[in-house]
Amino acid sequence: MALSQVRTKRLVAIHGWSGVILGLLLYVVILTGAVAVFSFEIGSWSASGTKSAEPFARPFDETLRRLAESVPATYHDDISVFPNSAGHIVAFLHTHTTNAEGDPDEKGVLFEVHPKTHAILAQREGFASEIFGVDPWSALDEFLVELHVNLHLPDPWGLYATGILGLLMLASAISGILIHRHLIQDLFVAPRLSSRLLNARDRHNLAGTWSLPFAFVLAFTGAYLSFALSLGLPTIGAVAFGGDQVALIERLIGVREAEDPTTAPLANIDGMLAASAEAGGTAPRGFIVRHWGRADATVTVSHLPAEGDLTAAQQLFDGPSGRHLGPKPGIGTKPSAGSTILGLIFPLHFGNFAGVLSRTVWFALGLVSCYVTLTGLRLWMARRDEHPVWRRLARAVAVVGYGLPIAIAGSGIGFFLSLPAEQTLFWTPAAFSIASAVAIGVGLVVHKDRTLARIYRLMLGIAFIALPLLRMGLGGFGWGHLMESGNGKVVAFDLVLLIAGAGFLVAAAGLASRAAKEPRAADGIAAK
Amino acid sequence: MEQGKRKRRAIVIRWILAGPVTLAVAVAVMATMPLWFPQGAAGIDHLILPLILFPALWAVAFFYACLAENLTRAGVILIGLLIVNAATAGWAVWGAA
Amino acid sequence: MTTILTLAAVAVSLAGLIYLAATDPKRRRAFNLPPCSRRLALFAWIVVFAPGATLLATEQTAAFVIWLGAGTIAGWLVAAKAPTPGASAKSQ
Repeated sequence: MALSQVRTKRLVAIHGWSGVILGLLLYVVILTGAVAVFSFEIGSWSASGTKSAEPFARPFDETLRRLAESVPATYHDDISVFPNSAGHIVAFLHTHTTNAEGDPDEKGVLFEVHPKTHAILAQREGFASEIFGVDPWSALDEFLVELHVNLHLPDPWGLYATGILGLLMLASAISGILIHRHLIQDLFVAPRLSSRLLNARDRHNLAGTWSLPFAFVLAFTGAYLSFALSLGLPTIGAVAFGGDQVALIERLIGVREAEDPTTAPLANIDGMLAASAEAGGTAPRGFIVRHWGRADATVTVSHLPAEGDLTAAQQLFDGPSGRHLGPKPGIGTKPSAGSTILGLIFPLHFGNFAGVLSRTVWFALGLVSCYVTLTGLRLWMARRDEHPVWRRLARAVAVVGYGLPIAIAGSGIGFFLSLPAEQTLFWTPAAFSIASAVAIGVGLVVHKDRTLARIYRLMLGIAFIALPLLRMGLGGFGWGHLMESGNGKVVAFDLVLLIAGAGFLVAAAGLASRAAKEPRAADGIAAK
Repeated sequence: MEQGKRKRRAIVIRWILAGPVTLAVAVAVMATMPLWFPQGAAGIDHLILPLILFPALWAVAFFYACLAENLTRAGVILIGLLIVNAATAGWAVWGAA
Repeated sequence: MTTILTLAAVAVSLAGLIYLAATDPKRRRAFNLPPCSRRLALFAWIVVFAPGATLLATEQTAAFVIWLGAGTIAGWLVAAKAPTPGASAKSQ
């Protein structure tokens, strides 16, 4: 689309200024998002493996009845059962109500059950907003996911913040297409070497162009996910359901409208799970029992997508008879355009539809988007290099660019050091803050850009190598045990960290030897 | 001098239109979509699609505010959209009760 | 199966991308390389997109989406690697 010069200049200003004002925050959300793609694996790795690859391999019916009988009948409205990253079965028996802040919430009893012995490992009662995310073993993956989802800001402001950043990324992607006149002709033009500024511009444009489809999808789905809960549902609930968000959610989920509170015991859950596995083509990953002990009870079983598929249908069962009622779309009671489109948003955003392969590609795409954001900021600063304010901000880009992965690694170190005392809920975020402060302090004290880059790479290398050593040294399982128990992914994670750490140390050494050969190299923006 | 002042005023108006006004328009249009959007086969499209389309609503309004040559007309259209949709949503929430 | 299909598809597309990058006229001009006498651009683009089209046609949706993502990364890495500048630049 050919724009007039005035409009192009305006778009460049908007693209640039919005990037400068919010770019570093956007980088935080993108990098933590890339890491959060592996949140389940990180949770499993930090717990030294999962106790069972198939949590429902052992019959669960007797245990489910035992748990239901141990709680008040008010908590029989919904029973959600799903595995966590450590392989424990989490059963949350609850009712739908509002919490002290007046927000819709779920109140009930949460059990953590060992997948093989069905022994109760933990039990907590209260609102979902209070009793989830307080398990010390899940502290690391929960911390990283929350950092991405809401920057650890209180609701709804955190979601508004990440939602706005998603819109910013969307605007940057679209304006980038409109600004770049020769998008297709420049598709294979490597960053040119004739001038520093041209090289910086080419780096940003090339990475931006190639990552455009992914950036667009990620920005759109990310903005939707942030705004849907915090703004969309309350708004639609107010207009279409007189403010009753619970009624809106039940309509969307597709809860059976006909109510029959007549007492009727639930059929055998293991039979339903087996039938669901046959119908769904994969092992069940969790289920929800609605209206336990009533004639209108239903069971909805979730699955991971089958081989080659992007989405997976849930399977619906009549509770008292155990009769298979057929596949159930993610929302609504029958297939619709809305359920199809919504069903695509989650796999496209999270990249978790095809195991390690899709997660690895999504992680790499996230890193490319980080590169686009940082090179855009560096390009902006390079164009204004003669002004001291922009030179200082260029230093801030380097500090945050390196400092964030250092802080993320620091949170992992804090997690492992505090795990023996089960103080991870405090020390994981505290270690993130300490590592951030150290990175910022180093950035303030070290004046030469190349020295700074070398120190940051050293810090990253040491932190990455320390993580698997701490995991094993502080009570975690060794590689032999992990391979024998089918937890090869934990070993793979350790190896990736060791290799990445070694890579950073080599990169730091490389910078040192270049500095030794060119002692008077001009300081510019910190080396990449 | 006068031209400089007018230019700065135009920039400020455009930032306001492309910023808070655009966001408000997107929220207001999303709010009224359940009242007219087709319900679909499962009776939920009019509830879920406004949520899904919210980023698109915002993007259309944002780029209109950025690229419109006639700033006055853009302001009238965006604020008009905001008033009409906000009033409709307000009537749905409080008027029908 | 998804992994094998995806990797195969990306490998085929990568071959097309490498050819397109090596023969791109603007890239060659920017690095003082002589233009290619003959460039089969259309054929190369077909090689790039055919694997994806095949995955879509055979309803391998997951593999198709991963191919899209991996393909863009591959394209970027291929394009970002600067060619060795031509001799004409050195002799000037």
